[in-house]
Amino acid sequence: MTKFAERIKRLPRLGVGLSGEFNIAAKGIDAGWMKANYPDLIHFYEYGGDLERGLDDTVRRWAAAGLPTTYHFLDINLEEKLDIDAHWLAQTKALAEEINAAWLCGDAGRWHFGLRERGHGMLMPPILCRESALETAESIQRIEAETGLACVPENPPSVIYLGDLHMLDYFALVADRADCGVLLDCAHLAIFQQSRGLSPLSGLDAFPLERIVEMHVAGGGYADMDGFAYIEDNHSPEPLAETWEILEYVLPRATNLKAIVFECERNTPEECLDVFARLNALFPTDKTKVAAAR
Amino acid sequence: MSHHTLQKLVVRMLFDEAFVEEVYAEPSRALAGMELTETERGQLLAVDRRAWRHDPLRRKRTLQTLAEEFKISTTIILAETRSLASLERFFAGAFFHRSIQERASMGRAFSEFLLDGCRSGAWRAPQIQDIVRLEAAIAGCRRRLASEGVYAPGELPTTISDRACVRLAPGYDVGSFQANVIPAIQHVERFLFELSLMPAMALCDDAPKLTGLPEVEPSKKVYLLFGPGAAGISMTNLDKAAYLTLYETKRAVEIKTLLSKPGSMRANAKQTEKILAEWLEAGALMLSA
Repeated sequence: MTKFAERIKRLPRLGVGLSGEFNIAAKGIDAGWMKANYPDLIHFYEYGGDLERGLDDTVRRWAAAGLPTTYHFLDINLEEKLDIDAHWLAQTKALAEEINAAWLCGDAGRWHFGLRERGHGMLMPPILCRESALETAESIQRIEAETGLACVPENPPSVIYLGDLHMLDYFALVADRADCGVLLDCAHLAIFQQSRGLSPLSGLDAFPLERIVEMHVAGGGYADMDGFAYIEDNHSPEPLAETWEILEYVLPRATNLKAIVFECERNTPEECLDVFARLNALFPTDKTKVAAAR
Repeated sequence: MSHHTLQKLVVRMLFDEAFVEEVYAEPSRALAGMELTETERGQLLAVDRRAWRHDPLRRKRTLQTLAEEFKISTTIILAETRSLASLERFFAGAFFHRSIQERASMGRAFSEFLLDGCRSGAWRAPQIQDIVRLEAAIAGCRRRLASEGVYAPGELPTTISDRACVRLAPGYDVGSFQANVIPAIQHVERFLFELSLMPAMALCDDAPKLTGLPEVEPSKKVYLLFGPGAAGISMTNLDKAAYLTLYETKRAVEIKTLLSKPGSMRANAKQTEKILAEWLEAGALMLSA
């Protein structure tokens, strides 16, 4: 297999995109409507999918129009290699191919406890230890080998993180062992840093930023449980200042960045336009406009 | 200790507040047998204990999913106990813990919890046991269908050797129940429908009540075949001979064996052949290696 440095050159630059999942258009932003009304603000659609629900009409129509997509899995435990069975691989590959996804991505850790079954769904971060990182890397290598698609792991959100590694050290180890790209979710990183009492940019100076293929931006909110303060990954239309700080630090240094997603699909389009405009200014689809925008 | 073991512990702590209290109060006792290193134990106890409660609706959301599959059973239990805690204690019990430890189905664990409640007398409605068994059979069919896929019968061979084996196709099962099980289910469904018209009416003193469940007549039985239908798993009435024949096919069995013991199944060989042919053609039975 070719090295990441070679493979990354073959991935398209997608620009700024919108996230969505099954039938989200009925409850939030319809990607097709958004594209028709604001063609310069979103350039691809990241579809969050699982085998139980499959694809919806919105993403099918989007793909049928020849517009670019990525497939964000919501149903695999990268940290648990026995979860990655032939059925999931074949079906996920088929779904991703049906919408001509440029790559696969999704939170590393666990999307369910135990079996992939109704009621078991619960997004959990990996245990931040070397053993888990190596198993995650093995899973990614298998997914990439069997689907023929790049698989880009994302740092997940949580209120509780266990393990002796910093989240960024964990993903650096995964990327190195699997020789893969990574998806840096700026909002999730801000959540992690707050949970450990660290500054938003802590650890980024030692992270291999050239591994970053995609970034996520989303709104968050400060929450409290009997005096215990934490950040909730609530996907509101307003990203926290810490999220912007991370994005703006990483952006000029992430030399292989191909896509930024604003995860805001549960809001109204009007609430999200300013953020889309700001992201497009920071990361234009046409790379030559980058210098002018900054 | 592997990260897998630690994750199982995390799941348990996210669902079971009493266990969290035990872990913080007496870690040696609560975590005994879990082979935690001192570092891992330190990491776990360093988590602010309030953090485990950050999602107060987690148990209710999960219970909602479980109750979708065991809708009638849980309704009868809640009507009887008038206590949500009677069902929420599932998350603090052995069936749930074992399902996490063994990476098994939580739905199945919940059906075992409900059946255990019948046996221990935690719920006493005479209708409940058969309704739990019936809902568990449907849940089991759904899972086998998901894991094994839909069986498409195709063209059957013109002759089938009696040495061939047959078994129920994925998503099919049979069961025998007290005769009033279906009327009891329909009675609860009517109650739930009425309540669904305005859920807040449950707060009223004159809200609809779940009373008058059809009585159990233990001497009378109904035999049912469960199988994939247009809207999930459907049920078909069977006569006793067909039930007993199909019961034998829960595991792959030689046709010859089925034909050789008609006496015990109250069907003669010719009737058994007819039953097998009917359900092979319908796709409920499949030829098996």
